[in-house]
Amino acid sequence: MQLFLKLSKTDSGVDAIAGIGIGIAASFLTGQLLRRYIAEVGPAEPLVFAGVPLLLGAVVIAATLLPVIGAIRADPMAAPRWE
Amino acid sequence: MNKLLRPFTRNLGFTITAVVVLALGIGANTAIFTAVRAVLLKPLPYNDPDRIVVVAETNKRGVRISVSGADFTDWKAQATSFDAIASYGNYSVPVVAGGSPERLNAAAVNTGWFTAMGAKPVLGRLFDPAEEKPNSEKTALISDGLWRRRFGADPKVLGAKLKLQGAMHIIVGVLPAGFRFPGKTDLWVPLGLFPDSSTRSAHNYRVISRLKSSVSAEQAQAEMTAIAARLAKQYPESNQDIGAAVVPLHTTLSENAKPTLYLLLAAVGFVLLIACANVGNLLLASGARRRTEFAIRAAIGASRTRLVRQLLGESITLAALGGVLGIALAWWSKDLIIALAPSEIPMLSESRIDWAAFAFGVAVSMATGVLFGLFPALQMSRTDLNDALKSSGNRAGVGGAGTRMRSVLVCVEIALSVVLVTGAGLAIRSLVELQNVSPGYDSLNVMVADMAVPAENDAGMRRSIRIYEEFLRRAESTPGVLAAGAVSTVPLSELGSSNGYFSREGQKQMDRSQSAGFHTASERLFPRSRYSAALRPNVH
Repeated sequence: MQLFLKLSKTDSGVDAIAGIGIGIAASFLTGQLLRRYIAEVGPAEPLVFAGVPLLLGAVVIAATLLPVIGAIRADPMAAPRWE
Repeated sequence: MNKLLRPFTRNLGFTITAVVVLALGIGANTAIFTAVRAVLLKPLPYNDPDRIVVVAETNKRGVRISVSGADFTDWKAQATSFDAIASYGNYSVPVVAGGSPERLNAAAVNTGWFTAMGAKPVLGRLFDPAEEKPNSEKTALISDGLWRRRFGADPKVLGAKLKLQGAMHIIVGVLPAGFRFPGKTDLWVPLGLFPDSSTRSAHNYRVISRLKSSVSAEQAQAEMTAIAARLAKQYPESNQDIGAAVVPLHTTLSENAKPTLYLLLAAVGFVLLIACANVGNLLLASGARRRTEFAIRAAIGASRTRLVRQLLGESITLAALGGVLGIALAWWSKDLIIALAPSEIPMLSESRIDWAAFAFGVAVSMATGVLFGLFPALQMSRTDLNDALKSSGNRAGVGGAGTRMRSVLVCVEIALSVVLVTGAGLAIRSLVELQNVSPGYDSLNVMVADMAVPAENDAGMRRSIRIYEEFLRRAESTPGVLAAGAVSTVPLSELGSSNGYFSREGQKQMDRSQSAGFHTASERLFPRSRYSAALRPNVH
């Protein structure tokens, strides 16, 4: 949770939260368009609308952390000589 | 050329990532476009296909249903809109050709059917109207595929015999390659309509016609509506509320697949937009590193237009590389799509990565290159010389408009991904729920085998009953089998059920408001499958 709060204050965290928010709002609209294609579930199926932000949130966290981990591991002697 | 490729070879990781991302987007779009073109845009591979129409009856809800034999006979006598109008039925039958039996799709068609379809045999002749009479010699036409597979493309096939439904049929002709209508038919036989079809409420035939060149589909519809109204007045008992619908053959074949294809087109469009946002972002990131390079170019006299042109050239080259890989992906995935798609989508197997698909892939690639390249190009060419030359490559580009644009791109990319994944999630949830719908019987461990025993007359009927009974008895005595039963069609399968009106005990007259789907079943079918509701009437 603490990690999440810290991440949410980073640039990529803000972008990700804004993107997921806009995406969810747009999904409610496209869900209405999908009505004729789906059966047995509503266009605002809670499981999907809760699961997708979690999934993409995890993707964003992974995408943010992997380069950071790479940077931390970099050899401090070699790094300044790059380029 | 060397100058054009230098930025890519210098930063190979970036180039490979961008090309693969773009290839996935362009490839998916090209593949779905190919399917859309095959199913919705291409004319049917028949002679003058726009004039081929399906004529159906409609029930009181306006739903198209099959045509009764007697109604068809009246249509044929009265309608003037068509060059040819013919009824047909199709079924899957065991056929014995040259020794071994094989289950084939066959169609029984009557006079004028091939005229309506505009099909001519490549070998031999079409049916003679006399061959529809019950006691005439039985004849058959075969598909090019069957001719090659079972007769080695031998021209002496004419006069050869095949056994179908207990009777020998003489092959009189071979139809051209690619003609398999309806569905994947391999064998056509003359359809003898029972002239004494006593009941008009038995809707057993499908009807196809060829419009006269001077008559539009609307005019034909008007004429058929008038004929149906006359029949309804003449035979209210059976034809009340029964109308007629004239629909282009292409529409009837593609209307079910159409919404699905448009949905897929929208989905892959989203994938491409995400790819664009992604690569645009990568370009901006790499642009930060190349800021010094551009500052030097500007310092030695390159105009801004020239820098934008160079950058756009680079992104279009990138998109072209992605396009080549993407079209290759589409070509490779085409057979996969055909194999995975439900067989009800006709014409899909005809989809080809041809010049049109190739042109589409190229056009999408070019548009993609401009779309993801333009904004980064404008951004990167607007370089403050002083600033850029002073700062080292690594620090440059941090802060300011470049970062804002990258934020917007990330935001758009994530939003598009959310919409796409949510849509996919809804579809998957829907599929899972549909698979959990109980068919009314326990389908676990139930095996189904298709079997057809021909029965032409009463004696044959008694013989076939004995064969079925013997088969069920032996099946039940097989170790591991608890019970075996027979049914006309498997409940809830795509074959549907028979339909009939029914009356309650004590009711004197048949109440036409009550009709039910029914299956004919053997005694031992239900206890095993616990299909307790099998005979519950399906009252509309």
